Amino acid sequence: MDYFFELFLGGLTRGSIYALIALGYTMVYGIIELINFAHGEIYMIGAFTALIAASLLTMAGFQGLAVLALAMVIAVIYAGAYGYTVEKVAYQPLRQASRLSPLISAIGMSIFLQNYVLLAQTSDFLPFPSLIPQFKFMKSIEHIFSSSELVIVTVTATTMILLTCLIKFTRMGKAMRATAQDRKMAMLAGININRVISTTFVIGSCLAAVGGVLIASHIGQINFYIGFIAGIKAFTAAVLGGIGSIPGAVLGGLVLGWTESFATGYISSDYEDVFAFLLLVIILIFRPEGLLGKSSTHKV
Amino acid sequence: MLKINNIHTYYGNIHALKGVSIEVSEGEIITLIGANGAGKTTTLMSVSGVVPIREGEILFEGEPIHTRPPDQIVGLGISQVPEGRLIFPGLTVMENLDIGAFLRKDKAGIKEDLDYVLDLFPILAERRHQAGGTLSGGEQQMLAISRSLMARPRLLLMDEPSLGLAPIIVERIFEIIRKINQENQTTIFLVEQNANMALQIAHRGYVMENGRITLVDSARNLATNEDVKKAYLGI
Amino acid sequence: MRRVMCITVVAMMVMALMITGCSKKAEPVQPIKVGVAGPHSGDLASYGIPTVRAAELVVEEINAKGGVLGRPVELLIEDDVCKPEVATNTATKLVSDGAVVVVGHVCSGATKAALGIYNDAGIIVMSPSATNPDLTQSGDYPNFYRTIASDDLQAKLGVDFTVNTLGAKKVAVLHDKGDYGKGYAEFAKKYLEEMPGVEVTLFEGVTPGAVDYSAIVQKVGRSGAEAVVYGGYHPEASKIVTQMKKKKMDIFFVSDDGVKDVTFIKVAGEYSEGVYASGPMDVSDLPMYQKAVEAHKAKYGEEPGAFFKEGYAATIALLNAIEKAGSTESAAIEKVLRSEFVDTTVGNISFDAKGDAIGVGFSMYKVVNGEYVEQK
Repeated sequence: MDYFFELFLGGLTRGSIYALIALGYTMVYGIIELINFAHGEIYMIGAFTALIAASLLTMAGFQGLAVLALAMVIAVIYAGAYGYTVEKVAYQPLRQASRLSPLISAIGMSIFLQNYVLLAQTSDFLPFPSLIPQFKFMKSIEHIFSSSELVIVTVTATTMILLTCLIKFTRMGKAMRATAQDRKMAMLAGININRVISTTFVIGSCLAAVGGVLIASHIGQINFYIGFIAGIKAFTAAVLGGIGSIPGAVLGGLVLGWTESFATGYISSDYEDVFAFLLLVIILIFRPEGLLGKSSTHKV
Repeated sequence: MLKINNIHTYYGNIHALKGVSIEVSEGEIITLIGANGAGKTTTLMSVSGVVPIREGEILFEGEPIHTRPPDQIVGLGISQVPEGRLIFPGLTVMENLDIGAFLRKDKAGIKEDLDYVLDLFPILAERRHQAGGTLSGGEQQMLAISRSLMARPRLLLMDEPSLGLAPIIVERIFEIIRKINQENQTTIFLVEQNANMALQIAHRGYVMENGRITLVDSARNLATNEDVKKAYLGI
Repeated sequence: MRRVMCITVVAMMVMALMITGCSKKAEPVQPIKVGVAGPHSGDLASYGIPTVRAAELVVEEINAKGGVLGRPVELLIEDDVCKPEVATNTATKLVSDGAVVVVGHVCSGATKAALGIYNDAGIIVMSPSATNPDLTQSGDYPNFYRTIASDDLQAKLGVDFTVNTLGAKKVAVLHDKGDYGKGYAEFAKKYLEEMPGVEVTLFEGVTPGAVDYSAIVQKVGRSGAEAVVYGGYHPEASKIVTQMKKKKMDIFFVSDDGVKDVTFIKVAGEYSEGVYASGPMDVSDLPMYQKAVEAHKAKYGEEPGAFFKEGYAATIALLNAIEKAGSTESAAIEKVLRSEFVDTTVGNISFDAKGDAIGVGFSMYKVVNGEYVEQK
């Protein structure tokens, strides 16, 4: 039973990591039906920015939580700027093009950003400081569930709730939903859809940066390639949960995390990915729209 | 109020509007009739700024608007009920109406207009928490008109409001159009294939063929014009 | 008309070849031809070029001293781009050009493909870098020698160290599913199972690049292992080690050359303390090695690349054997290679009956205060 609980917590952390990145995929897809392949790279850039910021801040004499908070803020701003620029450069000019063109542009952007960081930084793994301080919360599970894992799970849950509220209750959220459902009509209703789409990219990118900082701090290492691998799993999670759905992204991430954790724990880690993708296939056969996805309502 | 001056619009390489000029005066209902593919919808989309024009100009109260993005044009007081109604299917009736008032900040005015449209179409009040996609065609048309009214437009562009509706509903819709025009002095630019009904409520009419205006006259004269009768009124 | 021209041109080209061939034969002292084969172009060129440079440096020095058996040494350098199908052509070319011994090839696959051709021609081949265990252990390649240790030696060292030095009796074997890591892990498993009283509690591959390894770490813990033997590279190793330490799992971690990299210590930081990793023996204080590196720097203005010292050692070992044997006959050369020790850049070495170098090998290192310390 203890072992089960350990695997459960391990899967929870892993799933929350996937979910945090999946939220950005799902948001962008929800608005413009584009799989933003560069999202994983924004996550990676967020982590790199935080690494640089943290070392500068530490040199300037900051300590503890202040470093985490400031590095996070800088990473979020920087990643937001990247997200905004990527959308303006790679996707906005293709707004009227066929659906394949922005997809290819996205893949190109992803490769470009990876190589840009590779050249500007290094191909080697770099150590990432554990910015999340150790604190005591529950003595009984401390040895299997660290404070950084607790922080990741909490941040993912909070982010999901905040995003849901943003989309449900705010003016921008309404504009996002309108743009998602009918872009032409949104324009006719007076919504500046370019601004809405930019905002979506910026929010998604900021979330990616938050994820990047927390996850890198938890794992303790980064290189230019981390975004690609994390991105593929997060994208799987988003599809699993129903792409376009915010709670779906989180549920998809958790289901994926638990599947992998239990598959490793009870069967073999050789088959970790096999089970993860088998699950995806099975779910898509029986629920093509994903766990929480809505089957698309056709316009009359 | 609205002056369309010799505009040319293209879809890719297709020359859709070939020098269209239309004038709409304050308070009137004008109608643009013509066959499928004549360029009527393109004309409205050009006015709304969704489809850019290549040549010519569009003036609203003397101001050029063809250089502005769609959201600013809505802000100036031009609202459109598009062809096919384009209801947001996943939003509730109330949310659809909210979006209509997206650019407005006057809470009291919005409330007033909401009461007005719910009074105009009581069925919408009943369905207020239902998703737009679940409404019937007639209800959706009512919602689309109400949504446009929520922007409190001075010029209302309407594209085929009768399309695909039962005759009894069509009559209701046209009645409401006339009512909106009379009660609020809202200027209406109506695009219709149902020329018969359109010419009954309009003051003046334009006839469009292959991207060109071929005839301009008062609605009464058009209704008795032999060519129009043969081509559009089915007589 | 055109056909006549064609035939004339071809005939002239053939004749030209014969003339050069004849003129060479006419020379009074024939040079000893040594083939150097490996990837000299393409994406793996960085593994092959250092060996070419090493061979050139050795030959320059020996020719300056009068050559071997009183004859000058000439290098025949051929590119195999690490592809088995190209390597057979390379081998045929070297054989027909009259090479008496060959330094190469570099990649294990290309080496295997070429060896048959050399064997038929009675030519001895010495690779600076092909580490595939089959090459020496299968007995299929009697003409093959190498100056680098075979992959399984590392696993053997790791297992011996884990069981005999550290005293672990229950061992979990993990790998990264890659050729290198999995190969190492499979040998480790085999050797562990051969040892009496030792139990392999777990044998599993992990997914490289995964965001965390907590599940596999917990599984290791549950299996009751006293040590983990890991085959793979440092990015995964540092994540696994870090997670083990964070989960307060205090067991030995023994790994391979892929982990014995300063980046591992940099990335895993304090968690890397006490980790064991094997790597090539330290030869940096050998005078011959230092001299070779200096010569390389003087000629090329940079530090030598991969397998430079092994390539240097292979060239020296072969030329020394020819000199001592007093002949270029392979049977005579073979006898010297197997019976006499020679000083090289990888130490004082000889060769066993299978062709593996004696005196070349791996050492175990332990991370102590942020540095690898050789365990003797």
